[in-house]
Amino acid sequence: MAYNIIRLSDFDPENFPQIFIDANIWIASLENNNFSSTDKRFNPYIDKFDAIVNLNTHTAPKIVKKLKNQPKIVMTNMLVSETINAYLRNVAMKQFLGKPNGNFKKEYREERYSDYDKQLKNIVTDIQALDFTMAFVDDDYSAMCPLDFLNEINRDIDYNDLYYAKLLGKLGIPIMTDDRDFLFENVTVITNNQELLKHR
Amino acid sequence: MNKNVLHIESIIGTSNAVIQKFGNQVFLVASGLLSKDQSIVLDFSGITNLTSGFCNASVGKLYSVFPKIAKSHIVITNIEKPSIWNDKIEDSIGLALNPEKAKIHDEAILALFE
Repeated sequence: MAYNIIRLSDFDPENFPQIFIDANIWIASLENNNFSSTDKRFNPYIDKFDAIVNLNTHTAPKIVKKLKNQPKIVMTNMLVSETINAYLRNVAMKQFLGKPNGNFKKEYREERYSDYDKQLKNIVTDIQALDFTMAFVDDDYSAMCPLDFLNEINRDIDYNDLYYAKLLGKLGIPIMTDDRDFLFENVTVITNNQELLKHR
Repeated sequence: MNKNVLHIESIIGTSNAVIQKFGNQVFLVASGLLSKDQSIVLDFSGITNLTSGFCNASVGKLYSVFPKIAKSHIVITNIEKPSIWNDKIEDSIGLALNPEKAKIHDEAILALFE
């Protein structure tokens, strides 16, 4: 099968009018710190995220005219939800508990002294701060025959990935992701993931 | 002691303090002065958008690299207190001064990519 996969280092944001960026890269770009010596293999994604946002900060007509595109970051209903939930469950809770696992509801969301409310406000306002870079996409859910999706999901293909593949394929929008499972013929994938790059 | 006013918007060339690259630019200018034992004022006037990533790369990193003098040598102005923006700055300082917490935070983000 032929897949359209672009190596992250070859990706020039100016070449695309719109780009979809997965929730994990959103979280890394918004919340990363450089205070520890932890391996940062996600940094190249942050660099591209920053480059896309930077292009959107230009407002002077002289500069804007010279740009091929000011690529908008595509935002969908599901992506907002995924980004907030993944941040709270997988980053904020771990930081609060000081351990890798915990009961999200009991030990974090409903825990009287947790920083849940603060962290929720934090991720929400971080997303809102990027408003000027976003293009909001309506998914026309009923026209996508969503129940037909259910026949296509299996141990290798999860529902959300399939949903994004259908939506982005229909709209001709590329996705930036490190998810090695995101392998669909009809969507352009921008990645550094070695497993995905094998399919170029 | 001299106080050097660093106008964030002028340094990054935009009112959107939203990416780590811009935070790094502020860090570079500020760290040059702190390393000469000069005090700085980080002036946020004119800023319209602010993210945690920017705060971590600018204010937080200054506290991380200059932990002994940061508190006495850095003044932050034109941020309302209390406010969500002030919380973001305080959180970045808290993370910078607590390497164990920062490591857990970093490793949790890294785990998203595994």
